[in-house]
Amino acid sequence: MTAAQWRAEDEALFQRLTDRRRLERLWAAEGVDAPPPHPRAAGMIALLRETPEGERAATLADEGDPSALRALVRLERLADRRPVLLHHLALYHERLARLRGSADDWRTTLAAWAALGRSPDYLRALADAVAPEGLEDDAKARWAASAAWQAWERLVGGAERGAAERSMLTAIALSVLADVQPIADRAGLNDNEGESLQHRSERARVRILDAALDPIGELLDDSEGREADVEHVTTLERLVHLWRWAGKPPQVERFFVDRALSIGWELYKAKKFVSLRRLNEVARPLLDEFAARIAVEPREISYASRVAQFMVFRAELEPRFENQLAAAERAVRVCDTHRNGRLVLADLLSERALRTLEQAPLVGRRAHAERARADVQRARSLWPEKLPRLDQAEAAVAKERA
Amino acid sequence: MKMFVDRPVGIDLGTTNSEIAILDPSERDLLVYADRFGRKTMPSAVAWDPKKESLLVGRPARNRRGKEPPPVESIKRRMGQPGTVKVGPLELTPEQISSKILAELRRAMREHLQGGAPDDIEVRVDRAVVTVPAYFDAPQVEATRKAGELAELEVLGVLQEPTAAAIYHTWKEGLGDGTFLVYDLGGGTFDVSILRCLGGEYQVLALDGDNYLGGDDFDRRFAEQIRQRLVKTGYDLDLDVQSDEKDAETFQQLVHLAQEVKESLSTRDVLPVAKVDFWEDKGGELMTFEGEIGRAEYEAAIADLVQTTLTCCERALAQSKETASVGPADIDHVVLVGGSTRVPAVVRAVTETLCQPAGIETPLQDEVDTCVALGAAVHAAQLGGLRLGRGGEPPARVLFRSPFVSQTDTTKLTLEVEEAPDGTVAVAVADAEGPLVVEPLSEIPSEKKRIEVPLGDEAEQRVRLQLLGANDQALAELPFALYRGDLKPRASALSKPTVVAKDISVEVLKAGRRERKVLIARGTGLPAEAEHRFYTADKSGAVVLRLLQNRLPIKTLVLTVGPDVEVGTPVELKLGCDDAMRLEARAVVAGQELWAEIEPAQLDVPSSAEAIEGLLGEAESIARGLWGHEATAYRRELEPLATGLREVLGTDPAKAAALSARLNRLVEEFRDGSGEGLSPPMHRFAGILDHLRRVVYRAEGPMLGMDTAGWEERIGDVEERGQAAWDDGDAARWKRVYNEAQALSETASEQEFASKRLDDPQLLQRRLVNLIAWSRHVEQQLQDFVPSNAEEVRALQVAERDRLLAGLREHVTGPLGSVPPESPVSTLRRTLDRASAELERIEHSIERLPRIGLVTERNG
Amino acid sequence: MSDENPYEAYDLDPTAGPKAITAKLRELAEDTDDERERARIREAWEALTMHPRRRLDLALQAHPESREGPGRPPRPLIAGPAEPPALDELVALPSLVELAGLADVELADLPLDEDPILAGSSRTPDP
Repeated sequence: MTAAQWRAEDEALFQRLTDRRRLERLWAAEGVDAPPPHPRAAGMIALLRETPEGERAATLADEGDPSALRALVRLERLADRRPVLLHHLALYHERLARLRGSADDWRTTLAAWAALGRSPDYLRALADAVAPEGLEDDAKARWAASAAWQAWERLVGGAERGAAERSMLTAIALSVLADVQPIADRAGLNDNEGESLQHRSERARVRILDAALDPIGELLDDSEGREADVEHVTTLERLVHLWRWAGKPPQVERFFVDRALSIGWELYKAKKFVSLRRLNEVARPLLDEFAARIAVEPREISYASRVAQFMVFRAELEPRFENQLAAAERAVRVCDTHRNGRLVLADLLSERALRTLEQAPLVGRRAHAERARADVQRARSLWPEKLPRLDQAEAAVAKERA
Repeated sequence: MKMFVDRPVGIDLGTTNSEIAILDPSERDLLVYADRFGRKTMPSAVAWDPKKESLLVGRPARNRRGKEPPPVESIKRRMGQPGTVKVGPLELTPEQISSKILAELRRAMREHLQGGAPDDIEVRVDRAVVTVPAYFDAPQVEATRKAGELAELEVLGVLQEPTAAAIYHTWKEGLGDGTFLVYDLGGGTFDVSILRCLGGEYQVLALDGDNYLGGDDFDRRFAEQIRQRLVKTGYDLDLDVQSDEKDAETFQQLVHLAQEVKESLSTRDVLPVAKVDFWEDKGGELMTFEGEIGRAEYEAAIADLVQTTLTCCERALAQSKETASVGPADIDHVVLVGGSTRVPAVVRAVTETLCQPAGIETPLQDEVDTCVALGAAVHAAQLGGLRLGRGGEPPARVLFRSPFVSQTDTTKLTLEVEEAPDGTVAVAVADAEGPLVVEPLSEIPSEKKRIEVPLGDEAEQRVRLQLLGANDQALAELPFALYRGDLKPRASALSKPTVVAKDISVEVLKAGRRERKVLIARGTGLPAEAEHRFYTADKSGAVVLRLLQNRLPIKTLVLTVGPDVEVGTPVELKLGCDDAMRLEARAVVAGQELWAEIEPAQLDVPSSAEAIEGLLGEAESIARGLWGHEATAYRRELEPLATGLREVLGTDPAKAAALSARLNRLVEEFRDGSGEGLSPPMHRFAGILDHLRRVVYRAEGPMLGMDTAGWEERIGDVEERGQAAWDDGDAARWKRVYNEAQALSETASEQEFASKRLDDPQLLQRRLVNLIAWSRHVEQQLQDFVPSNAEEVRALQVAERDRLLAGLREHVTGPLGSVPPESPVSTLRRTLDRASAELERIEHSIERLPRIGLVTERNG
Repeated sequence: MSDENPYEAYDLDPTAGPKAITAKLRELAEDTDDERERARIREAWEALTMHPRRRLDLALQAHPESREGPGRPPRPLIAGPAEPPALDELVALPSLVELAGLADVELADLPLDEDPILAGSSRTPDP
């Protein structure tokens, strides 16, 4: 007669079942309304139990408190973890990220995949096990080298799909991709890898923004056949909202300027100043940022002329003289060769010179005359051609001197 | 009342010959119909018998070759095309003619089976699977299905010919798992398919082919050589087959002669030919053809045609590599199908090019004429099972969906009771001793019932299906048999043996350019359904959904929605394709719904040789106007078409018509210059950069704090990025870089511009002249605009074009023409400003004319 | 999303190979009467068997099997426990009676040492 024995196999089976229960508890603690991952995900718990802290966390989970386990799956440093654990973690967090829609979950997900991407041997072994036939060696090697980026593509693809509606996933993707350094640090990427991650994120952001710009572009395309009016301005307003929503990306600024300038000109020529004024107001913050960037980023010099023209519009529409002058100054600062900028500024400077002379008191008149003369001089240097008000101001200054 | 048996058949409706076959319910025999001389194929010919004043079909029809009126042959080549064909006094559509062939096959098979059946059993041949070339277009498939219906057949499905051949070979040889390359060279079509059999299930990995290349082309090519030899002998044979019926008939005689020679050459190397007084030449002189023809001569004549088939095979292998990682070395069996694969040169080419790289000694070449019908019969049995019934009162009809064969002690029958006497409450399978198993029925027609029936030891077990009343009495009985034996592997739950051969797509706008968005991708198994959401992209008041198969427009759906529907309104499009490749589309936008069954498209076929020449000329001139990768893409499609068309112009009017229809579509797509190219075009980008370089050069010093070297570097960078975007065909990136270049050019030009006086009368005069020239150009563009072929779209486009023309006259040419010479400078300048703004708007609208109503796809 | 991963949805082992995947999915497809479910199974089959790379991509999106195997079940005890069983332990459950094909046997009439259940179900009683 043999007594029942608790064999190693029994213990393994017991742990296997218990890990599954622990996984369920861990999942319940995540607070998402969805069934837990496939039972194979319990392997992640088994792997975590390999360390003493993991064993402790498992015991706590058995006692009904999965918080330690929950902290453990959010490892800060993923670099030296076993690839199979990283694989589990990547899938676990990706599932969470999709269900919960949080930027942090996505950062953890991408970090786990990026860390796994540093173990091509693991991925290669997976390829050999799943597709022993049908794929050549180099195809498998290529797959192993790039497989971990698939999650990235899933995020970016989802963000693109939701871009027109400005979905939450799109917003998350834009914010996650705006700063990928924490992901690189967590995954333990070296400088080269980090740089490649950086490039990838920039390209991805461009794609997502393109997708967000498309519907507005279509609206503008459609309205191109009609005379510019308030309808056009409303569409451009949407563009400015998008710019704010997306974190003020330069790409949207350039798009705005490309599409808005001809509308601005049309409104101007048709003397639709109410609409043009509204456009000006709507665009003000965007253009101010763009102008500031042009001053410091040589790459943006292309847009100097177009942004300057907007400043010229502003100079013509501002109700107060000082603001008009400031806008014209800004136009010339952004693009010192800008014809209209120089013209308007010269005109405004002449105006100021005339006003200065007009308002000059009898005492201390000289200082006023000096200021007027300086304005006229500067106006002339900006505009050597004939300009009625400048000619008038020049004459007035000369007369004053005489 | 007699009991009836209805087992669906498989029919291969071929260009030259057709066949019909059936799988015996015991699954031991696969029977192909043969006439009393044992001939298993029936010529696909229909003719008018003037004596009996009736139609002849098959061999009697073909025997009228050379008589008046001659038979209609190779009608398969015209399937899906509009128009009728004269058969004696009748004008019949290609579908009608094909239906006569199908009806004759059906009649022959029914008579044959009835002859072998007991007197009290009526054999019905009412259902069929009809095969089509894998590379047939949807309209051609649809026409084939219609022909079946006209022959009063229920078409259970259309099966692609190569798949049918593979099904036959796996059925016959029990080949098990593996990949097949099926090389199917019929009379008028060539198909290649790469299939995989996996655990008894089929996957179609790749398809390619040519709908207008077959053995007939070999014959015509060879006939042309014979014609040239006869001309050298002195006969007058300057033939115009395109428009002269008598010439066409003369050439047909040469084709028959070529066929005879070809057949003899498949078994010998040299053939002495002596054809005396076989036909008259144009001058009425009787011709005699005498001399020797060597096989080498024949093979040289067709070498490039054989090469074309191999190119299709290479493309198919490339495709299967992409879809399934199956390349040339991974093929396990090469199967030859079609009478034309008897040509030794074909076998040799296939062996060398396709078998050897795969380590296969020789191709499988069994039942090349009938294996398609046989495979279709196996598939028909799978799809349609067996229907047993009794007409009259009381009615009984039962459809068995599962085979009657089992290797084990029990067999699982799946059946549906379609009709039963009143009061039927159960179905039973009984042997002589009584019911073996009883299954209650809750409704008639019943749902699918699965019944497990115990089997005896004997090979064949006679049983009855009983429809039982409330107290177990049999209200009706249908005898049948169950068999013990091997159940040959055949596709069941997972396979979708018929697939879409070419992408089915809809035209959409993406980043401002027209693109084809694939809805159902080639290789998708049937039935298939696709649902997509698009968005309106303009306020034209209409939504235009143009469906295409590859490049062939198959249907244009136009929904009128009213101009108040906002840009960006969702458009739901649902496209379904059933087993018989029937396409159905449903579109919903702003609460409006449109449903359409997709009928065969009307192919626009040029009517005469001159029209075809004109088309070829236009195609060439379009090629000269294209740039970069767009030009390459166009050329790649144009060249084989143009070469093929020139070749068959004098020998094969039907093929010339088909090829010119294809060329017409290509020309139409590229005519407005917006084919697949990016917008704006490359030359404008190059122009901007040129201008920019000139400005930098003239400046001779720093501009905006950047020296010449800095500017050059900057321009180089833009150019490089632009080129890369252009090469990648990335429309969004291209537009971005283009805009940047333009902005950069404006910025650089400011310095020069600064000194310009806008009110300078000379400058204004120059502007006026330029504007007038520009407005003429725009007017010309509007007048040259070729609206769409689809009627409703055409109406939309024409209305828009007329509106633009009116706008041009009212706001541009009118005001420009009436500026008084003495008007003040400021008035002139304002007029010019307004006119140029309007012109710009009109130009934008012209660009959008071909895209009117098109929907856009977000992010894909 | 892993819910839709065919390996996980149909509990397939990614390393099993296309043939085993086909066999299992075919069984599922034949068993179901729901056409939509069958269409989903077909789709899964195509995804997992058509191109090895797709099979691989999906395997990457499925949790790997990293658990220890469930092991062999313990062998059934040949002899009874050391202590004699209590009377209530001897009352055979009805399902067990049915499983042993003893539904029609009058157990009460048999002496305990001939009780087929206590002796093991392989020894069927002589009716």
